[in-house]
Amino acid sequence: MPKTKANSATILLVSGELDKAIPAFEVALALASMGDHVNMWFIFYGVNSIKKPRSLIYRFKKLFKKSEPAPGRVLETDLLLQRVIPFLNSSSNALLPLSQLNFLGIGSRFVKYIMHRKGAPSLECLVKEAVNLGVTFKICQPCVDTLMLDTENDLIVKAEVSGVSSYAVDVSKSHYNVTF
Amino acid sequence: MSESDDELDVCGMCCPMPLISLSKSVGSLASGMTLKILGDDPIFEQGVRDFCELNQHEIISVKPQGGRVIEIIIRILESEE
Repeated sequence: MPKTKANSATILLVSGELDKAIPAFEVALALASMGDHVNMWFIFYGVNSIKKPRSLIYRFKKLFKKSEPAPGRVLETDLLLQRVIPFLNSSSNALLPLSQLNFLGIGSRFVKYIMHRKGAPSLECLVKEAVNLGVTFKICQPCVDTLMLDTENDLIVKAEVSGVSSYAVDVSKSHYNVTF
Repeated sequence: MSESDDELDVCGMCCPMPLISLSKSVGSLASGMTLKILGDDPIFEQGVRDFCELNQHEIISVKPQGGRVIEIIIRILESEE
């Protein structure tokens, strides 16, 4: 059935694992390629799939740095111990773990190598294509505040910080809703 | 401007609690009444705007109150049921 006008889709990524992030981005890209408008929502560790890779030294230095105001952050309610979360949450767009057979990252690297051999696009490539196709990225505000995420410097894409109300609006306007 | 019919203070609450409180307050008001909401969540204003867009209520005024606190007055409009 030929469609008359562009539909819209909302994709929610909750999990920060490679085997869920890749299908999420592939579905988003498929819908965007068909001419649909795609909103991608990221919550908690799902944000890791669009995070910049940061070295251990960078993360260690950030442990002692004063937090700067960023969209969606409430600095007054921050805890000192909360700084441990961005330090330990090391996975990024470049290397997400697998949900099974991860073996401390070896499994993930192995799967990435196999995908490279087979000519399958990597997650970095999928994210870049998603940006080129005009996919909108949105992140849940409580998650930004809890994980101490600097959405302006820590992400490889431009993302909007929104709440569950905006998600409700997106979902009710969308023709397709997928959750990973 | 006349005072609103009801007031709701959601300062200190984090997403999605302001939305839930707002929904409860609006449910107890009749069509045409106004509600003043005070909140300091970073996405509070966006949340109220989204709520009003989905339920077709009218936003009368949005005033920053200093700090992060924002005061929003909305008019409840009858939804056809």
